[in-house]
Amino acid sequence: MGMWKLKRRDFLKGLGVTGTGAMLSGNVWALNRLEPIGDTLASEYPYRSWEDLYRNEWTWDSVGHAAHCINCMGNCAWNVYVKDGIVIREEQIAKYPQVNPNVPDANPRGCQKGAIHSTAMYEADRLRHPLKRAGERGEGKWQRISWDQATEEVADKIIDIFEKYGPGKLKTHQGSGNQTMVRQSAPNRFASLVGGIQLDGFTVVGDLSTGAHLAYGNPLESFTSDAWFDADYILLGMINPNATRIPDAHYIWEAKYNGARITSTAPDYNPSAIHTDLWMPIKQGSDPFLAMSFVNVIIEERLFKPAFMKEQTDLPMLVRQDNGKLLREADLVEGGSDEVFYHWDLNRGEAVRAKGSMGDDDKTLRLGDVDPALEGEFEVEGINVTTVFEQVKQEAAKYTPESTFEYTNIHPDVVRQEARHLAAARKAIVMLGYITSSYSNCLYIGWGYALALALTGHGGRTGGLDTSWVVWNHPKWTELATFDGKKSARYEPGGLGEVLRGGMMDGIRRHFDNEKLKERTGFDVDEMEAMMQESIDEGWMPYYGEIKGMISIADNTFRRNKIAETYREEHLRQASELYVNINVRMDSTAEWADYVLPAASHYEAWDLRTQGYHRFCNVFTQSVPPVGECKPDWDIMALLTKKIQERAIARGIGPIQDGEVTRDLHTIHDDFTRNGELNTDLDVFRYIVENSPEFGGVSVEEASERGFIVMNEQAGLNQPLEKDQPYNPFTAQTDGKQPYETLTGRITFYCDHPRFVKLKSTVPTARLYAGPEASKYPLHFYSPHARWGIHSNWRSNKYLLRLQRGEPNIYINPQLAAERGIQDGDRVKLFNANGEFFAQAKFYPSIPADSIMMEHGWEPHQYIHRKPMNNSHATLLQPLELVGGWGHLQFIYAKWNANQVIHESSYDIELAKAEDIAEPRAV
Amino acid sequence: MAVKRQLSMVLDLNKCIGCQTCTAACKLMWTNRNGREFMYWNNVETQPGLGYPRDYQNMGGGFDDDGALRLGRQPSQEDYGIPWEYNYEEALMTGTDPWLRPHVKPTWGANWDEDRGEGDYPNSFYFYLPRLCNHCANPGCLAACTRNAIYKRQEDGIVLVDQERCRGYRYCVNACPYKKVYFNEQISKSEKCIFCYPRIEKGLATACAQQCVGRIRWIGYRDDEEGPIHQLVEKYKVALPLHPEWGTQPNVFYVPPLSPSKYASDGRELDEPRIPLEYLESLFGPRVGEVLDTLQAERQAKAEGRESELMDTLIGYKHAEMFKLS
Amino acid sequence: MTQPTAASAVSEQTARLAAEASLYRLAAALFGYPLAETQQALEDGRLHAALSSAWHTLTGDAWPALPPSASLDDMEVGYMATFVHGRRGKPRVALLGSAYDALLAGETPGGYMLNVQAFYRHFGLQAAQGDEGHLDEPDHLVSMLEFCALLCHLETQALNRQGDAAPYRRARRDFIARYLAPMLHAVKERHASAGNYGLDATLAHLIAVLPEWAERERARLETQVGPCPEPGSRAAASPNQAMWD
Repeated sequence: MGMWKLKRRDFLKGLGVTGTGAMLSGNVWALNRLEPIGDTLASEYPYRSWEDLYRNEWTWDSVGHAAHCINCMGNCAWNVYVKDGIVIREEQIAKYPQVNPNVPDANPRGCQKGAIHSTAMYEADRLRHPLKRAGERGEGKWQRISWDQATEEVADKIIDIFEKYGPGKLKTHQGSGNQTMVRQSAPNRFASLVGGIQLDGFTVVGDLSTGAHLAYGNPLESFTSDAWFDADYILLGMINPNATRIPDAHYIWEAKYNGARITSTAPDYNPSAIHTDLWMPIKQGSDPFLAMSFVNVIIEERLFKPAFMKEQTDLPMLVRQDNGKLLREADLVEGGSDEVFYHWDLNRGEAVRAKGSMGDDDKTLRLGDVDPALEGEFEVEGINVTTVFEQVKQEAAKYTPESTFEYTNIHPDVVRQEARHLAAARKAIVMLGYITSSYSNCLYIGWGYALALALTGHGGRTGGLDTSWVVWNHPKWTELATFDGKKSARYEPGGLGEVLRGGMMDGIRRHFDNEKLKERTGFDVDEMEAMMQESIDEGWMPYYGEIKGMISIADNTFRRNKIAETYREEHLRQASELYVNINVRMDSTAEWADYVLPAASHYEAWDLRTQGYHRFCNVFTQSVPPVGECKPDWDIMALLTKKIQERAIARGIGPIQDGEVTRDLHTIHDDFTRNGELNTDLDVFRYIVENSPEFGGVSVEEASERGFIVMNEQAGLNQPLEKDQPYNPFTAQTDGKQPYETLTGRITFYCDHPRFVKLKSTVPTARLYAGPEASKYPLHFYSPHARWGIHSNWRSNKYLLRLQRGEPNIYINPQLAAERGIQDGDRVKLFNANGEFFAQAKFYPSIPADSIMMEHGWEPHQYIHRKPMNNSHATLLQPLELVGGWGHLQFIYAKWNANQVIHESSYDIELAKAEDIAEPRAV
Repeated sequence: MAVKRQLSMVLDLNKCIGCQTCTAACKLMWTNRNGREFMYWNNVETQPGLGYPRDYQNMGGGFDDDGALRLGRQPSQEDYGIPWEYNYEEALMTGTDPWLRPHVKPTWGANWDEDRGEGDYPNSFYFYLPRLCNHCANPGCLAACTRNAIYKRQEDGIVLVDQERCRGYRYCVNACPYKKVYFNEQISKSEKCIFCYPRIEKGLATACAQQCVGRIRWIGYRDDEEGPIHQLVEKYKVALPLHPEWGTQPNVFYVPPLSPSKYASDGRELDEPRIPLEYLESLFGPRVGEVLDTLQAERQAKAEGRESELMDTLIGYKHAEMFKLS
Repeated sequence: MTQPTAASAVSEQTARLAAEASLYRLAAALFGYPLAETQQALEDGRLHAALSSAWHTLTGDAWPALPPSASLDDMEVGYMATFVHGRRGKPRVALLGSAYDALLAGETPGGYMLNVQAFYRHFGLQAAQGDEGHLDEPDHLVSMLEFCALLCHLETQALNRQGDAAPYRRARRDFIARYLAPMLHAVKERHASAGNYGLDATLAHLIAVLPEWAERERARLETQVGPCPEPGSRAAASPNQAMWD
């Protein structure tokens, strides 16, 4: 019996023309969403019992591979089980090879969130088609349009912006949602070609370890987690790896069984502290005082290791006593460098040039026959000088364990005991999580611990600072993302750009008491604002000002930022010409867009990812095709550039001068795709796999089959990633004697930048965080990363919520609760000058009675009345993190600029009134 | 009950990080459907605490000193925690509800006590206790079943509820002192952890153990002298059953937790662990002190550069070798 | 005597089946994303004529005359605001069965979709990939409607070749009972509570009348081939599901 298929379009067209009957006769089937498997429709189908249908439903058609890397540093290899095009379940691959027989293997990396991801994958807010706004911005009226129409209209508007306002008016920021190579490359390459504004991904959220950059000249050189295993002393500085670095935490407890002493400093007795040898109940935000008291003890008891200090640090560098500046070649030699410094050579009894500084041609730390003095006062050509170490000693003398006790709550006996353990350790690691970077005194914390570690000779194979990030060497990824470095995006400091462009200053001013703030942090809001402006005026930090158009990729910027409403209004006002959002779901940032372009998610595209604390590159094999009309980010950008190029040519647009380069919209697609070589995610995947030296020539087939690639020695940026050894940072310096990427070429403990002088911070010292003492509200507020989500991802998953309190909750000491008449399970109100929010109270005896803790990242729509915690959160910038023009202290993307800090606010609490939390049945 | 071989699991509470990956793995493997939604065949509870189901330790069951079966109390739905649903549609799609919230006010759940524990700041204490069916040598559930629907498999000692024979009388739920048998209202039958026997038969570890990222679980046969279970339970005697006094002879064992020291009121460190020894003994029996001493002594050996077979086993250098299934 | 009677019974049955099939097909065509052709057929009254004819055959009632949307743009906006991206980006009225927790009844969305798909597969169908098909949306209302249309077609074929029509009736009965009717009810309830966001009047009317009609269809099929099996028998099969690789 013959039948033919009729498209819906034709079905509708034909309706009534030839008569309904004919159009709907049994010979025509107007099916669009179903189709026959082979020539089967004409044959009989015996229908036995429908129960049979379910007997064999749980079998797999295929197993793909992927990681769940939405802004998470876990990066774990999973098998993805697919049946009839649908993902059903996932389980860790767990086949990473053991690197060294004496070090535990990395299996099975993962966590509870990855293990339930298939339940969260097909959500109703998933984007499936390109959309165009059909009402006002944010009104929620959408029209589905074709990719062709969407990209053509966006292309024309981009060209309009270039024509009307010139280059530099387009913000093309890609958020931390895209951490994988193929995905991240596309928008970044596009930004490079158009000169779009891209903010620092670390500092927009407060994740940059600035103290580590100041000291070591590289905050992204750290340990792989397997390198924790052979440490014999690990201090968990605020970090809570059992909750926030779940796949890596086992190495710490295995190190403990291997004989290591594990200690923790955190305001609460957190899930990691429970397995330590000693938890130090530190007062929130006082960490620099503890670090400096360690330094005090190390110096007082002369536990320091002179050999390491002389060779690896600037402690023996000479400092002028008349003006407090480092002694520079320019001070002694006409036309001399101001990036060359001096040691006092005890062998010769004279000042000698120190090798290895930025201004020195001899790039080595080797001292040769020079024996630099660490202590003493000397005279060089009539200038009285002393050493950096003398300056450090003078400052450290203020921080006796007795004097810091009142700030830190750590007893002097404990301080002395731990300082001695640290000094005696063969390999000591101080681990600082991203939480450190969310405090205004982040720089002091990292710097102080770096000093304690350097004094006791811990660097390279003997330990050091763990900064929670290892950056690997990926020349091909970099090449693609940066357009071979031939043209650049407009990179901008994260915290600074968000605060200024988002108009947050008023909200900041509202929150803090200026006088009290200065006492705590060393600066007030007015001074902070003046120093922000100075940093821009001096050219230390770039800021590109108001924008006209915005393409937002993988970033929930309107939810993430503080003083959120003002921030959003400002951005929408400025981006008057165009706002495009490229996203996997309709989030609270996409809702406001002119155009929304649907992107493939991580099970739906080819990709690669290495960011994490290990040497494995996880492979994404496109386990299922993208839903709806979604496209991989690369394909989206290829299509968009195609349209821009076509329209530019049609409109007669030629090269547009932008500083030293031209923005060539008329060749942008050829440039983007390398003249048609790289059109799809798979093309790029293949290119990176086959050409990246760190992958050692693995074939695409092998990588896809296995689900991960073991990187070879070329993955190491600072030194080779040894095949059979865990990765320790800075061995090129400690073993190979190469200079650090710092002004002096050494681990830096002296900074004579005028702002460091002004804020009395030329050497490591201590400041407090703002906290309740800088406001009118009595309770500390501690807001760590969550065990149950990666920021807001997975926070509203019901399987995970059933293992929590089912709704946003705060943690409160039962004693404080009793004082305020609060019971476990009650709804409470937290409030301050900026607003209020409601949450369930959960008793937690492990937190001090003057503090409240709440994990961050709850979705705004999960709060009563949709009032999120973020509404009442103020932020600050640390002015020291905004200096430039001083060797390694200059704006460097992902290395040096100011964090948007998020843990400085304070609150008061009371039992919520029934009428305040009553639920109206309609909005 | 004599079986040819007995599979067994050891869990090291010093390595458990409370991440609940095991719980999530088991949930998707077996209990997210078909009337099992409220069940956690594997759960992780914070102790001291009421646990899951709520206050199960005081519900009775097991055997008395004379070996006589004691029937206990049946947990209520609330004791398990109602598997609350969310108004995703009403709050997020139709806008008829003002915010996203559970359909009942949450008052109890499988992890309600998370991180609470006991004691006062800064001397509070807690630890994580993952629990699954103990696949006991003397199962209370088996003894209580009047239908003879519960049996132990000869080849591996796994305890199963025969889903054809079961008539849903629920004596087994009462008799299990660990409350690890659950009644499925939807099909009117009792169900429980099956030690992932379909996986075991294919040489794969249980989902909870295979997917455990803290690497705290070892699986093997009790009689395998080369295997990890024998080493930890019999040779070094550092793994203890939970509540041995309940008389069911569990085949799941725990390495009890060490804890950091307490502080005096003036802030000095005391030479006293946070978790009171008596408390641990109430869970794992009188040998806890001895086990903790062994662990510290062996750690010290490692710190001094000496060999320790026990520490090497507990470190677990190769994940795949933590499971010996043949 | 018997022969003509049987023949006329068959022709009566096939006439009814043709009307059923056309209602399923028309509904499927309308619940798809609005096309210029949809708007045109509405404006010309051709859709109304086709619906009227089918509806009259099936219920004896006329299909009400409803005004078409003012323009295609309006129809698109109304469709999007209602079914795809309404408030905060979520559909106000989802057309995917797995978006309704009540329909999932504790299953995962993946499991639900597989169950729906299992029906299709049994009849040699799969989610289309060409034209307007979406591999990942087997639980879309349009797919379900199209499937029912196809079952009508297969039943007609069986009647025409004097084969056994009962299997297709049982299948349609079960599919309506398990998936289509609950889905139509869910959509109707949701639409009633969501309010009107400019949805085309013909679509809104379909939403309003289809659930009861589907229930009647199911009841009619039950008189032909007996009642639906209890859902409990499904759960019993589940412990045997192979869930490992």
